[in-house]
Order: sequence, then structure tokens, then C-alpha cells
Amino acid sequence: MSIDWSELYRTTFPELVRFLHRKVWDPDQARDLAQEAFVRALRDPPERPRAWLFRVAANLARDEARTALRRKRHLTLLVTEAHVTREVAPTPSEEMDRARHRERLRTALASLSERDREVLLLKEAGLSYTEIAEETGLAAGAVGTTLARARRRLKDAYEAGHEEENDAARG
Amino acid sequence: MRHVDDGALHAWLDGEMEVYPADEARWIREHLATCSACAERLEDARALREEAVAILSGDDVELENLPSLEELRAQARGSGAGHEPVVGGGGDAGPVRGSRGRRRSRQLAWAASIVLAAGAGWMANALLPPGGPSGLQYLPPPGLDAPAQRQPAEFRSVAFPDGEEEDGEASGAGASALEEGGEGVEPSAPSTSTENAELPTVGPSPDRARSVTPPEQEVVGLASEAALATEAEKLAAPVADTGVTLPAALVSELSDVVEARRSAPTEPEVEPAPEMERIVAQADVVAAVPEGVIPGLPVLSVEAVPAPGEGWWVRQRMESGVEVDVFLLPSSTPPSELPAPADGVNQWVERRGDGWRVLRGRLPVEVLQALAEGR
Repeated sequence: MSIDWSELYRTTFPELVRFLHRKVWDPDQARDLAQEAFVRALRDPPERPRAWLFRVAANLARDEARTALRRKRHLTLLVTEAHVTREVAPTPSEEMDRARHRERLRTALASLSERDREVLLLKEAGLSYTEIAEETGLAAGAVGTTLARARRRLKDAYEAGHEEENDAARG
Repeated sequence: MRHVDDGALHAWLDGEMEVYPADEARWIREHLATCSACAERLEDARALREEAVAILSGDDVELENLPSLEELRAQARGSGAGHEPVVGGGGDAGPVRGSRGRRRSRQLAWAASIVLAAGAGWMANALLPPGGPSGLQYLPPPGLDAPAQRQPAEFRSVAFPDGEEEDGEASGAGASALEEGGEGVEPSAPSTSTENAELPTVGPSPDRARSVTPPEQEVVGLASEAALATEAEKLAAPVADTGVTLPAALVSELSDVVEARRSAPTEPEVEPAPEMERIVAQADVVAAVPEGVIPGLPVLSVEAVPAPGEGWWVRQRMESGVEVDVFLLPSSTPPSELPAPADGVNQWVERRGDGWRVLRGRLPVEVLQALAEGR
């Protein structure tokens, strides 16, 4: 099967970066991993490149997350008095809102099961139910059910985070 | 009366009705046109879907400075086979974009520092008499002369040269602490005390944790840093990655060795080779635990899949004592090629990355599914 690489790049690469960003939460890293996945596809063209790209990207992100977790554990051993005193430089209010949203989203996504999160992000990245089923091993008919649950849980967790922030602000 | 389920409502909203058989899809359409309750639920589902999309789209990553397709093609042509990252790796891989090379260097340094620290602790406990004569002895690596002026080696984080230094950033523990949002670690003179030789501590005391080797002592015994870092990552990765509990036998054996050394009334023999070899062999078993095992459950054995021989067969034990077999299969080996489960043994099959994961045990399928999903 001949692959239209220009079309694939145009329609998939930005979505791949977005997808990865919601997994690693680092724009540079997301771009690097998307690049790595795409280069692998160019080197050894897969049969169904779009689904393949997201599968490889998910695996790369998982590896990165494990490495990050390992480093975090090491820090737990090595820095036992880690007082978190991160200073937040003054930023425009829009930037602050965005940072708050990102943190809430990150927490909300983390509260989902791995499968729910994967299905949600793959759908958001534009994959069809059939492609999501192929990627996750779910039956295509079960994707909608998983998606319905994931959307509900994301909304609930996001709103819960918002309420917690408001409670904290009120003291 | 039968109603449309939530999954079908979302499939309808996502324009994915083709995943249903034609008859089912037709029934859903007709039902939604006639059932007011389901029509109302459809509106709720629509609102939920839009809210979820809004939540997700509110955090859009900057998509500037993406590499062009031509750049990617150039990298694909320039990179060799295998699965090493092609970005940040330099060499013939084309223009380096991003910072994965530096990151990886730092990660390796961390892995190496942990294994060095843990190894130093074990070695200190195993080889030195209780209390120690006057602190730990510095053991130079092969090829390096013993430093005359250095402080005695101690149980601490070893700072490695870090790729970040060229950018003027801090390195080692300080840099990583800052990265994690922690407080920076101020350099201070290294402690020479030896009270750290206590099990089960695998790491420095709080005070020691905040000390970093001064710059002039940072490169301590790094003749084979790259090889050491590689080995360190190999050893540290499986346990840290999977959350697998170390085999009790290994922990017990290590403790026995240490206790025997401690209680020895005289100078210990300087021939730990057989014991160390056995420990290293055990560590190799731990290092062989593949990805995909169930986190938190002890690993009893790791073997190649009996037939057709491709993939891993990992046996784990739950707290209740029930054993669970985890088969990690490549995509070329579908689960149907495994031997059929015995009577009373259920299984849960799922696609995982480029292959399959099969869980088997004398447990309800729901429990196996929950284990697979990490619940």
C-alpha cells in the first residue's frame, strides 16, 4: 500500500504532538517523541500508519513516564527534605488561568483508568472507533461505552479539582 | 422496554454507527426518533461530550517549530536500524532537535548513582566489621590509581558530569531536585561519618542527602561511566518500572550475608566472590522481569512461553496466595497458540503495545480484568 506521506504528516503530526503532550506534559518532549515515531514510520512503513503512529507514540510516552517515575523515586531516596517552595514568577492572568487549567486537566486525566484515558485521548486525536479498537484491543462496539464513561469521569474529576481550588481560595 | 445504551448514544454523536451491525444501527436510529426518554439522554450525552472536548481542547500545546516532513525524511534516511531514539542522538541522524540526549544522559546518571549508592551500602555492610575501623575505604575502579588526597568514599549520591552543565544549569541531585519542584541542594563538604551503614536504608541520611560532592571531587571513579550507567539502568529499570516486589528469597539472602558479616568477631574474609556471584545471578533474574507484569505482586518465576516459545511467561502471586500467570506475547504469537487453560482456570486477553497480554488464574474473569487494568 502506498502511503501519502504529505497528507499523513499534515493530518497526523500535529495531533500526534497534542496526544503526546497530554501524556508527558512537556511540549519539547512531546515534539521529540512525535518526531521519533514518525521517523520510525518513514524508515519502516507500517500497513496502517495512522493507528501505528499513535500506538508507537503511546509506547514511547509510557517509557518516558516510567523513566520519570524512576527518577522521582530516586529523588525520594536522595532528597528526603524536599520542601516544595517553587516560586511562581508573576505572569499575566491569562497565563495563570492556563496553568491552572493544565494542572486540573492533568490531575483529572491521571484519575482515569489507563484504558479510559487512552480511548479518550485517541478519540480526541481524531482516531475512529475502529482505529481505537485496533489500538487498544477493545471491541469496536465497546469503544462508545468506554468513551461515555471516560468523558463522564473526566468532567467529574475536572470539576472536583475546580471546587477544591475554590475551597482552598476561600480558606 | 429496551433503550439505547450510553455507548450507542456517544457512537451516534461521534458519527460512528458503522461499528454496529446494520440491524442494530437501524433500530437505534428508529428508537431515538420515537423514544422521548432516550432523546433526552441523547441531549445529556451531547452536552457531556461537548464539555469533555472543551476541557481537553482548553490546553492546546504550541505547535510552532514543528519539524517539516523533509527534515523527518532526512532523519529517517540518516538513522540506522534499531529502535534507538533518532532525535537528540547526534551522529548521522541529521539535525538534532530537542533535548532527549541530554535528558537521557541525566537519567542514566541518576540510575547509576542509585545503584552505586545501594551497592556501596551492601558492600560496606558485607565487607566491613561492625562499626567499621575508620570509615569506608575508597576502592578505586580498575585503571585508576588510589587517590591520595580524596576523602574516604562514603554512602552518598555520586555526582556525574551532566550534559546540562554546558547550558550553565546545575547538575546531579541539585538539578533533578529543582526539576521536580524541590528545593535546590546546596553544595557542602562531604561528610566522613560511617553511621550510614545500616540496613534497610538504601540511600543517604537526610543530612547526607543534601550534600553534594564539591566540584573538584565530582569525577570519582568514572573510568567506565558509560558502561556503568548502562548497567545501572538495566538493573534499576525492571523493579522501578513495574513496581514489582523484589523476590523475598533475594532480600532474605542479602540480609543473611550482611548479618553474617556484621556478627563476625574478626576481620571478614576478603573473598566474597561466591556470595556476590550468587547475588548478581539473582539480580539478573530480577532484571529479566519483562514489562507488562502486574505491578505490586511478587514475581515467582520468569520463563519463556513453553509453546510456541516466543514471549514471556511470568508467574506472580497475589496476597491471597493465588497464583496468576501472565503471558506476554509478541503480535506474531496470538493467544490462541498458547496451550489451553486447565479446568477452572480463567483467562483475560488484551492487546498490549505491539503484542498481547494474557492473564490466567483460578479467579473470576472480572478479577483478572481488574488486575490487568491495574485496579
